[in-house]
Amino acid sequence: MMHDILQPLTVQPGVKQAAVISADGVPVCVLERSSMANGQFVDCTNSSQASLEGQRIDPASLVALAASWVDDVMRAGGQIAWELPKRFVLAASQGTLLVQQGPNAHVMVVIEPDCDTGAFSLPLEAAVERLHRLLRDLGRFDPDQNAAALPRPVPGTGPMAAPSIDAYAAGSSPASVMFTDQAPAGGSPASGSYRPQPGTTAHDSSQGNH
Amino acid sequence: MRALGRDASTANYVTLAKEHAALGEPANVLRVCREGLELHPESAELQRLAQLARELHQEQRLQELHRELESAPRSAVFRELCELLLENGDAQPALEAASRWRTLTDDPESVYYVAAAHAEFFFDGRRSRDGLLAFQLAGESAKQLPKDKRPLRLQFEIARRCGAWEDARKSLARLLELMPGNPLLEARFRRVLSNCAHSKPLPRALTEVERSGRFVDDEPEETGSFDRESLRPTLKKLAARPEVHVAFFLRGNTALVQGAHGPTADRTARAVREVLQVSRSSARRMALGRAIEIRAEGSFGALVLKPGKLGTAAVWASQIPRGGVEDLMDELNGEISPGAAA
Repeated sequence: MMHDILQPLTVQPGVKQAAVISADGVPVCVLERSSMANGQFVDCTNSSQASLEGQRIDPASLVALAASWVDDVMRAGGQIAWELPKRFVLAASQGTLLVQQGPNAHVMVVIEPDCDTGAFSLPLEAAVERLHRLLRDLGRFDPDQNAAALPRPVPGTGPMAAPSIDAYAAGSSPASVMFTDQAPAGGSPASGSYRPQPGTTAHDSSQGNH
Repeated sequence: MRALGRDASTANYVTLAKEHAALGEPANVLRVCREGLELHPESAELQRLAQLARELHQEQRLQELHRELESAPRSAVFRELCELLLENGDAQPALEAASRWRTLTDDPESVYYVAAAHAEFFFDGRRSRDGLLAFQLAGESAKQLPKDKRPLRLQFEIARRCGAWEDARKSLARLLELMPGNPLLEARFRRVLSNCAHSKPLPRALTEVERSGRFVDDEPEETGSFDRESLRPTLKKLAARPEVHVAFFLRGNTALVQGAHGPTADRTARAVREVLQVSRSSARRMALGRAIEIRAEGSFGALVLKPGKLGTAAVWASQIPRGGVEDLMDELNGEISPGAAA
């Protein structure tokens, strides 16, 4: 059943891996293109090690890291707007990860670098819709439960309102923000670790020569 | 051809090169371009054609090598294929070819190419596991090929770039045994020796590179110093685009925000920096390499970040930015030269 959800994604050019993962990073179904199988997709859901030729990360680690990244970006993104993001793209030099949020699960693909990510918008949405339908048919989809499963913005850092129109005034100077901490690299910085530098105004009015 | 005989101008060289290109002869295009560049080294068009011909020639050669491997796989063909792929920066196909070579023939040289491919991944993506694997495989290869300098050079390069000076010294010492009296190596050895006092164990050095995303010889970004005045016009132009709500520029520990003020600017800048940091480290850990663009999209619009040479340009926009906005972001982060986005 899960293969049917992912199959339309695997026929897209440039796809290296397609997966359905639970929101907490457990692989539900992972299909991977294998050069050993003449470029066909093989099911690696239960593979706990990089068994394919030339593979550098095992599927279980990859999907767990992808889910963790989505979680981190949602937490940080929750401080910008009221609505939470639904689609995530991480384009990098050796590949691009695309994740579409679904009901208690995500659909993700890893594609070759330089592939057009725009071409995957519709197939990813369709895959999530198929997942949605499957869970509904199985009686496992509860919209309230799904909403409750979504991460919330960090307490005390409520989402901002849309910027007022005067914020766009062509003459306004850019606000200068100084991060005085050095956040622990490799992990998400704690939300309380950021301190505006004393004496540094967020809106640098001393440069108001416009 | 006759025209070129009468007048050896750039235009005639370009015409002849294009005639060869139309006939599908990249080797001849390259020959004509080289000849033309000897007389007109400043010609941008000849340089472009030469580059294109080189790439086409390599593509043809790659196809030939793949065909040869299908019919008669042997070490010489694998070696040339791996060399070509690594030269082009195609580390993944190089790793696949070298792994297949290793499986089929068990040639000790294949281990070196597997190590070299992993090293390419490490240099690009800075994932510690790639670095460690490359170093270990290079060591294995050095044992099997005691007269070969390449595995030792690879080990030295990995250790040097992450500041594991003691390991770098050991590799250099072994290289010096193979090339006694080499003045360049001796000078390097003395420099490395002076750094050994603050050497880190290799696993720790690799982990630090993964965490910070920086090699020891990378320029420090922490100062966050940059010419704000030169960035201001581009940032304003970016924020003035109808689809853009807020525009950001981040470098080190400083952020410029256009389109939001006061605590809102602080909060959004902090959020954007968080997204950047988690995405950079996640890209490395997921073996995707260096983050180039990060997007979070939803009914609120899109948050788009583009890390570049000078810093990171970011926008919160009502829709996915295209064309002009992307160009302005690339100008801001230094990926294209100023004014090119106009």
